[in-house]
Amino acid sequence: MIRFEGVGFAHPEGPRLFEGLDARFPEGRVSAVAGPNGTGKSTLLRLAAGLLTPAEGCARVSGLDMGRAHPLDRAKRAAYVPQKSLLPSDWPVGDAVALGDFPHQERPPAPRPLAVRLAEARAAFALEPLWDRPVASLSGGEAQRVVLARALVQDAPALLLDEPASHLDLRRQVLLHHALERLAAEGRAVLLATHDVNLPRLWGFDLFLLDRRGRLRPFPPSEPEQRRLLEEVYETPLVPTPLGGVTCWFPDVEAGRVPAPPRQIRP
Amino acid sequence: MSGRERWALGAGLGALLAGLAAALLLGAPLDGFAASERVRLLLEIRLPEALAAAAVGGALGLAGLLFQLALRNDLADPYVMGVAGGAAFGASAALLVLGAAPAALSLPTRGLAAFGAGLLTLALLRRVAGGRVLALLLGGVVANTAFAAGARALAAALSPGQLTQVSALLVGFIPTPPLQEPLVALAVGLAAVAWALARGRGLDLLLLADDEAASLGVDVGRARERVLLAGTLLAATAVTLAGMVGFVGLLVPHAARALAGHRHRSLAPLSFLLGAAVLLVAHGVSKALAPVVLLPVGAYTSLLGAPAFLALMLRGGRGVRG
Repeated sequence: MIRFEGVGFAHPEGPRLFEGLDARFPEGRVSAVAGPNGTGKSTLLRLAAGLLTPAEGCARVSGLDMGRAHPLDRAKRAAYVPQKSLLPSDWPVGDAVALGDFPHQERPPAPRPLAVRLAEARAAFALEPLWDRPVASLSGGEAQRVVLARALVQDAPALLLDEPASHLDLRRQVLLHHALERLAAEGRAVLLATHDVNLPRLWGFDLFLLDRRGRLRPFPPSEPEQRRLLEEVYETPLVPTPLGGVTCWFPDVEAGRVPAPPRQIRP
Repeated sequence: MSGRERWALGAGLGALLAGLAAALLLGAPLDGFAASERVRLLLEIRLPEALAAAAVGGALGLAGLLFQLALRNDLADPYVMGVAGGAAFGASAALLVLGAAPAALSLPTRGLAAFGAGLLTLALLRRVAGGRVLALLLGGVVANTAFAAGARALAAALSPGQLTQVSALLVGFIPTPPLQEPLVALAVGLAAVAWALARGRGLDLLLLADDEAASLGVDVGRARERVLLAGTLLAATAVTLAGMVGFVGLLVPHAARALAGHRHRSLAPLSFLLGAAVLLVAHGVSKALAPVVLLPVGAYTSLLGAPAFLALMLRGGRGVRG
């Protein structure tokens, strides 16, 4: 369970992002937070990871006040995948993935052996062919899979992912989808930030919108309510397109409608 | 530890032994001396010199590795960062203050002055440079030049004997110290190696983005300060004993990475071993060539190091992380 309890936060010399924010993201679910640029989606994840400490209130993972916890304790509660990572260029992929074991080096020992976690992570993100290659030789999407695999090795009850699909090709997006579904099914709380309001719903995830006033708004079920909320939050007219039982929303470009995506795609 | 790492550490140990042999055996021929005299020359002159060279080179190699880690930049080292210059200035100032103080006070006073001045230089430069690594490195080079001028100005107020000592500090030389001085320096270096081994993978994680390392359980701010503190202590130790020996700290970690890979658990001891070996050999060479040309060891490391440094830069972005 990831909980925000009355969180107030502003970056130094930045605008106030959150005020009295209350939210819960339960285990067993994948929750996605979308919203316009600069509303604080990444900040929300970093607060949950304990990388930032709120001025008021606290962000808790499995009860632990993350912003004020010891780094090793918080690393055992939540794995975090940043939007941009910095991997040491001369490292082989396998060693970079194994860094996820760092929080488990000291007592108490990790619940599952490292070799098992490594094999799982390697298979989950199809890293076998890359395993011995130096990180410097990877493409953006390959590097993103390395960091995602490292988060699996960390084996924490909560996962915080910032735009995890941003560099992934279509096939690897499917891998990500399966991995996230499985992680949630194992009883973990997964929270991801995205700018896509359609994909999370197509994938059966819970969607929340973060508006410009730092409020988290659950995505409503009915189409008129969805339109009202989206057009208010994104300040742009939208058009609905039904797809796989879900109403997808696309921006209404002045010259006409954005062509609908091909219909054979199924979530 | 992988087979490659074991092999690399073995090679480092071999290099150290070869360097030790070079430092002990090269130099003015001992043929003319009686056997007892030879033993005395070996034990009282060549051995302390060799131990000093090993301690200084090892400290510089490890200091370079730690600075490169803390700044995530392969061109960092105590010399480039101005820490060595600051420490040399501190040690020179200590000579001035010490004057005719008893010899027993000399090493700790010079050492503390070098350490303090090195820390101060680093803190000042980091404050000025903010987060800009390039500004920090350039600032360090400028600071070194300024400190050298400052030390010479100090030297103007010193006795001729002390003037020689200050000049030697600025070029880098291996003195013939009382045995306890290199032993203390070796102890500092080995303690730093042990510390790095105990940190284990925590050091490796500092190469990641700060947020990533923090989310994996590292207190990044504190860990980086400690790495810089250890690097400065090592640099000050080297400078106190032998002055400003350039390029060893910069280049040795690259050789270590080429041999052993990327884990600091092996890179730390290997950088110490290789640094010690390099300076032992340079010391031996400088003694062997002394009848032809009398150059301090710092001149040899600079003569060899400068082209190696250029080659490293020409190899391009791959080796230089911004």
